[in-house]
Amino acid sequence: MASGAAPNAPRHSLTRHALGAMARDKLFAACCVVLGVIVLGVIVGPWLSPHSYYAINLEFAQQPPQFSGQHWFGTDDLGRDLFVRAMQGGRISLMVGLVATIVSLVFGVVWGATAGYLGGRIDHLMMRVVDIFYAIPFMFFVILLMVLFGRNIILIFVAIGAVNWLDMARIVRGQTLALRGREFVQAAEVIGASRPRIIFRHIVPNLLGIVVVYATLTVPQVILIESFLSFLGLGVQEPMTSWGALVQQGTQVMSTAPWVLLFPATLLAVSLVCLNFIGDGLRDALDPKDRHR
Amino acid sequence: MSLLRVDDLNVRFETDGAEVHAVRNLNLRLEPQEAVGIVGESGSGKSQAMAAIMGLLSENGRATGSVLLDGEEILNLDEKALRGVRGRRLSIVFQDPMTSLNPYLTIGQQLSRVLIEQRSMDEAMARNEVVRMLDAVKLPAARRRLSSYPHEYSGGMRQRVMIAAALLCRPDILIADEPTTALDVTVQASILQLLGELRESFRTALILISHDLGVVAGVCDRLVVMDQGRVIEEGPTETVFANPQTGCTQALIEAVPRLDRPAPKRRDVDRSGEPLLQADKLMVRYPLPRPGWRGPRRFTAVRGVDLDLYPGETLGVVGESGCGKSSLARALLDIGRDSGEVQYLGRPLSGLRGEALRRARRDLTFVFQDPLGSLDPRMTIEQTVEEPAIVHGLVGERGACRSRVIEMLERVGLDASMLNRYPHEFSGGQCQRIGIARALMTQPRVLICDEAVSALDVTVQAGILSLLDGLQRELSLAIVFIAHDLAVVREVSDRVVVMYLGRVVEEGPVHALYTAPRHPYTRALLQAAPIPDPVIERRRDRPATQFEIPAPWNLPPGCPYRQRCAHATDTCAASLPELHVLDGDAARRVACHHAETLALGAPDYGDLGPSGVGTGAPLTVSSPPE
Repeated sequence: MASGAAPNAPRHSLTRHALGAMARDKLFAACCVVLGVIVLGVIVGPWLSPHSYYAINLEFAQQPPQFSGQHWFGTDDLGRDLFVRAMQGGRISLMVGLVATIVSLVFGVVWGATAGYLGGRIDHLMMRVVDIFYAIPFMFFVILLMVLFGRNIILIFVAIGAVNWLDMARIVRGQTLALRGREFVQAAEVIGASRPRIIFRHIVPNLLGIVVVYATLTVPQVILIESFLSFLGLGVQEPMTSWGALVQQGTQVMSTAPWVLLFPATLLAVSLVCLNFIGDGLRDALDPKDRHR
Repeated sequence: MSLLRVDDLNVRFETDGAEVHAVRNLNLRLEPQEAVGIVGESGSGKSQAMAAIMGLLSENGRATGSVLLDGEEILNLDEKALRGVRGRRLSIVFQDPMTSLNPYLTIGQQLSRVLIEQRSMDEAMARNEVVRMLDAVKLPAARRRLSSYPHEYSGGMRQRVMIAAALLCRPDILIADEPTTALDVTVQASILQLLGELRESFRTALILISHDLGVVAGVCDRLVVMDQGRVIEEGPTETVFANPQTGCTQALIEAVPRLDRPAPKRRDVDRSGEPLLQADKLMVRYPLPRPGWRGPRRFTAVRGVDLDLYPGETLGVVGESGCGKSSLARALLDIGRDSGEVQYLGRPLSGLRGEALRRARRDLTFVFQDPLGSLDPRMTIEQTVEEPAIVHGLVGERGACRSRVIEMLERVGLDASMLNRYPHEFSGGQCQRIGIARALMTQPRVLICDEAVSALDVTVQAGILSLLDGLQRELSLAIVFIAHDLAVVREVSDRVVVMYLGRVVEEGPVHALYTAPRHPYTRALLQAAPIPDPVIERRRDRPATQFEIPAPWNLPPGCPYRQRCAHATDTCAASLPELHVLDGDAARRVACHHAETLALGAPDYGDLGPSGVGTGAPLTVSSPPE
C-alpha cells in the first residue's frame, strides 16, 4: 500500500501543482519570458520614446533603422517613428486578442457546458441560438454595428467576441456530452450535488485541456481578424494602428523599405508562436496525470 | 517437437525513462491440439506475452528470447513476414467483440476479405467458405446474416464471428485472450463449449488466457499460472487445482466463490418491522436514439419492479446484461424513474422536500462498477471523499473534515498518506475502496452496489466483499448488491432477486433460490455458471442455450423467456406470467406459469451436488495483495 507524504502535508491544489509543472517546462518558461518582454515593451514603449505615433515628418520618410540614432526601427513613408507605431499597434492587437478570447472563453464554456450537461430541450434551444448567430454573415454584422454605433475600437472587441464564442460553445458542448456519461459525473449526481456544482466542479475542470488549447488558437485568430478588418477600413483608423495594419502597410513598400514590414511582422509572429507554446504548456501543467513526469 | 516453443521470453516497456519488465523468462511448450490455459491477475503479463508472440506489442515494447513455431523463429519478425504467420499459423480472439469488428463493413465483407488476402480465393469461393465457417461456430441463419453490420449482432454472436474469423485460415494455434470476460454467463458457457468442440473438429491448439479459473477449468488440459511477469506454476489442470504448489495459486483458487460449496452462513435479519426502502411498480424508460419509422420510440429498461429492503439485510440482484439491473439501481435513488414509486421509511422519495430530501440523500448511497471511472480525475482523494459532506452542508468549506476523511479511509483499509494524491495513481481495488469511503462519508443506511466488484481481480474482489461484510456488521447497513456473477451474489446476500428483461422473474431467500430454483431462467443461469474445478466442470452436462436474449424493444407477446425456455407451452405464448407467491411462503415469488408443476430440481454440480445446510466457513480473506 502507498506510503509517502505525512497526513498533514500541504493541500495539493491544482493551481500549485500547475505552477510547479510550469517551472519545470523550459520551453514554456522561455516563451513566457519573451511574451512578457513584448507585453512590457508594448505598455511602456510609447511613453519612453520621444516620438509620438502620429507625428508626421516627411523630411525623414523611409529612414532605415538606426540603433544608435533616433529611430530604432526606422520610419515609414510618412516619416513616422516605426518603433512607437509598432508598440502602439501591439497594444491594440494584444488587447483585441486578450479581450475577445476572454469573452469567448467565459461565454462559450458556460454556454456549452450548460447545454451539454442539461441536454434535452434546453440543449436544443441553446444550440439553435448558436446556429442563428452562426448564420449572420460576419462582415454584415460588423458593418451593421459600425453604421449603428459609429466607428469605435470597442465595437471590434464586441464583434469578434460575439462570433468566437460560438466555436468554443460547440466544442465544449461536444466534450460535455462525452463527460456526462462518465461514472464520476453520475457519482456526483447520486451524492445529491446540485447542477451548478456538477457543471463547475466536475465538468468544467475536466474540459480545461481542450479549452486551453482552443483558447490559445483563438488569440492569433482574433489578431488576424482584426488586421483583416483594419485592412478593409472597418477596424482601427489612421493614425491609430495595429500590428495587422502595420503589416499591411509594410507589404506595399516591401521592396524599397523592407524594415517597415519586418519589425511588426516579426513581433506578430513571435507573439503568436509564444502563445501557442504557452497553450501547450498550460494544458500539460493542468493535467494531474502529468504530475510525475 | 513442440508446435510452439517459447524460450526465455522477456518483454520490457519503456515508459518515461522507467522500464517496466512485464514478462520475465517465460518458457512455454504447446503440443499440437493441446489446450493450455494461462491464468493470472491483471498486470501479471499474460496478455503481453501473447502480444509479443503475435508481434502485436505497442511501440515502446521490446521482446527478447525465442519463440519457435514448428522450429521456425517468429519473434520480432518484420511486418511482411508476420503476415504469413498471423491468421494462417497463429490466430487471436480478443476480449471485446464490440471493438474488434469494423462498424462500417458488413460481416460478410470483413470475413471474406481475410480469405481473399490470405488464401487468394475469389469473391464467391470466399463467401461460401465464410458461410461454412459461420455455420461451424453455430451462428443461426449464417448466409442471410452475411450482409448484416456488426451492430446488428449481439455480443455473443459477435464473439462467434470473431472466432470464425480467427479460424478462417485454419491456423495451427488459436489464442483466445479473455474471450468471454465481456459476455454473460449463459453466453460464456456456450462460447466455451464451442471452443472445446472447434478444437476437436479443426485440430487446433488453443491458448486460453483468462483471469477466471472457472473458465479455464473445463476447457484446458494444462495450466500456466503467472504472477508479476513470472510463471509461478505449471502443470496438468487437475493437478494444479487439486494440489496447488504456490501460495499465490492457492489464493487465486480459494478466492473464487464457488456455487458447489455451501454458502457462508448469514446473520438472521429481522423483517418484522417496516422496510427501509420499498419500490412499487418501478418503471424506467429511455428514449431510443433514432426512433424507427413505425417502431416504438422509447425503450423500457425496467418494467414494473416491486422490491423491499429491510435494515441490515443484503438484497442481491442478478441477471444478464441488459436486464435492467443498473437502471433499477438508479431508479431506487429516484434518478431516471419514469413511473412507480420508491418509498424511504414509508415516505415517497419523490414527495420529499428540503431537509427530509437531504436526509434521504445522505442515507442512500451508491458504489459504482468502474473503480477508476467513478472518481473525478482532477480531484484529489481528499476532495473526492469529502464531497458528499460538502454537498450535504455537513461542513462548510474544503478541508474542514479531514479527520473524518482519514477515519473513512482507514475504515476501508487505506491510510492518510493518500489524501493529496490523484485517482490514477491507485489500483482498481484501491479506487473501489475510495469509492466506498466516499459512500460512507454521510453515515448512510443503504448502500447500493452496482456491479461493484465485477471489474476487479478475484483476490481483490474477495477483499472488497469481506470489507462490505464487515461494514454491514459494524454500521448495520442495508445493501442492494447488483451483479451478474451468481456465486458472488450468493456469497453476500440474504435474499436474491433474479431479473430478466426488466422484470423480476424469481425472488427468494438465498439458500432456497440457489438450491431449488423454480424459474427455468434461474436454473439456466445456475447451470451456466462455471465452477473452478476441472473434475466437476468436465462432468457437468450443459444444455446449449438455443436463443440469445431478444431485443428488449421488440418483445414477443406472452412470457419473454419462452423462446429460450425448454419447458415453454402454448400458455406461455398466450399470456404474461405474473409474479406470484409460491407455496404460501411470502418471501418466495416466481413469474412462471408452470412453477407449481415443473420439477426443475437442483442445479447440477457433478457428483458432489449442492450440500444442504449452510455451515460453511464464514467469509474471511487474509489481506489480499492489491
